[in-house]
Amino acid sequence: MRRAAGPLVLALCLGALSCTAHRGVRDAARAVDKGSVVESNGGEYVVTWRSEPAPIPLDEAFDLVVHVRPREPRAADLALAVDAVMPLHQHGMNVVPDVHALGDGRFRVEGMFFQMAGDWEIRFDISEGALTERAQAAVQR
Amino acid sequence: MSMGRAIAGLVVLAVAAGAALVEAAGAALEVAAGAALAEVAPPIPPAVDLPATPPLTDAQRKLVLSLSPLPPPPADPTNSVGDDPRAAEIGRRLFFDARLSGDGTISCATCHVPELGFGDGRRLSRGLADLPRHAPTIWNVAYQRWFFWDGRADTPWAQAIGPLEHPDEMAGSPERLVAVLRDDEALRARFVDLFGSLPPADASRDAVMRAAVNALKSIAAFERTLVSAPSPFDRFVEAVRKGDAGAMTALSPEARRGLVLFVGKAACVTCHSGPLLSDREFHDTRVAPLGGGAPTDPGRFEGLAKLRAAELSAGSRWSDAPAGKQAALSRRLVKEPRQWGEFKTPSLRNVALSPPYMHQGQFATLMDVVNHYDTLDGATPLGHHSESILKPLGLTPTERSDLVAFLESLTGEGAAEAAAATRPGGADQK
Repeated sequence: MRRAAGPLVLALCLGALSCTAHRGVRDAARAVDKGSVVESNGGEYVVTWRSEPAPIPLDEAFDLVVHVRPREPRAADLALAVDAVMPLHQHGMNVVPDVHALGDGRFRVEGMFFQMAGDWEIRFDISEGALTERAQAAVQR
Repeated sequence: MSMGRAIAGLVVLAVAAGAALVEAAGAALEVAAGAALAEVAPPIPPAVDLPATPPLTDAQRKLVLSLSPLPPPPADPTNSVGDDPRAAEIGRRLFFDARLSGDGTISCATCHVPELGFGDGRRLSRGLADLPRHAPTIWNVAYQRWFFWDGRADTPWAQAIGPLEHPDEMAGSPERLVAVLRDDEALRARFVDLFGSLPPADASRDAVMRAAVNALKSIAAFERTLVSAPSPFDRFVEAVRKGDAGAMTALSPEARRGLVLFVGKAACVTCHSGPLLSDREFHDTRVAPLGGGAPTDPGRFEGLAKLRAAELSAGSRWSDAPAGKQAALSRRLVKEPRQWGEFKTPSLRNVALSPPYMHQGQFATLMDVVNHYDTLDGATPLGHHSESILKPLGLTPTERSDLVAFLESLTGEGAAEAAAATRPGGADQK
């Protein structure tokens, strides 16, 4: 079937722009099965994470191994909360996972659970004192 | 050239030129589903004509294959006798035994009638009094994660105590349950053989509860046997996997078109996913309550509170796996405003056997259900915190009929006979 080239080129351009704008999310989605690195939205922290097991299972509990570091190396007393949502459905997980601080910005998140197939977004809320920054990673399951 | 030969030809084209050509050519579902399997199982030339069906995307094809077959039920570590046939036989007898109820007239089978798809055919069920919800089927209950419409139990044996004790349902008690076991010679012999002993009439509450829980686990063992046989849809998917175009006629053309809608335009598979055709979780169906007015049933929101307060649960001392996965999942459950009015996604396997539908039996037919999700006419308004999965579908009358045809293709072969055989004196009585 022949298709007009103009709209295709336009679509590709728009797609490229969109991809650039959401590079962090896209990269996270692509790398999710082998672990991923995302930056917090304020740029203060870098979050390295992977799931156990990998890839993230559907309809079954899984854990996350998370390392949070200040972008500029320094001592930091960090706390972490983790959630996941389905933006298109406007709901999240039906569970609250247990977050265990292991020291040095390392955390183990137990009991994550994706109950539905589709587009998920894992949200890492990093708190240092009274300040909180969020990092998020897109995951398709 | 027959349609079958045309389809076989298109498979070759698809392999050579890619999926885009298949789509452009308006290839049949069989082609779309079979192309990915061509490398491992070359399609058998069909012997019959196959009516054209809209094409599936790769993602939709993957979804179709994920819906079948129904595997054996997952193990239930909370119930150590769950797969013991001796327990299942005790449970079967108890299931049909009205002596468990306060006035001796109500059994589990009063609301879960084998001949009515293990429902009761009523909009709202009736035990010793009128009840606020419709009786869900217990076909394939072994695959569920939560029990009741609101999920207020997290194991099937913990579910069984609910109706037994509720004053409007059976108005029974653990003591009465154990007394029935003690007073029935045949039941007593079977129970003692499996569990070792029965407490005497003056036993402690703890001893009575231990025996009662074993009886409830036996009822759950019986319910685990209620697994539906392969349906025409399963035969179709099996044929797709094998590339057996001839066997794909297990599904009518209407049902095949309905399947394409199910995983495509209508997006039913969003919630009715996996081999059970249910995500086993809770959603706001936006179905207005019987009699109209604002919804008053909190559904999952209240079910969570009841689950946390339940004496019997996966994490309780009565469980055989109190530190297991189900207990951990229940412990981590979150209670949120959005869960108000959510109800469990029912399985669609054998769905044609147990009308009416929804948590209050609001819809008499499957067509009524499809009409609701198609138009959302009369739907309850979305709350500020509600999920937003449902959208009007804009189906044509033919598409609605096709979806119903697909839903009717999910009935397991021999389901009615298998259900009837569970009754005392039925064909499978031991």
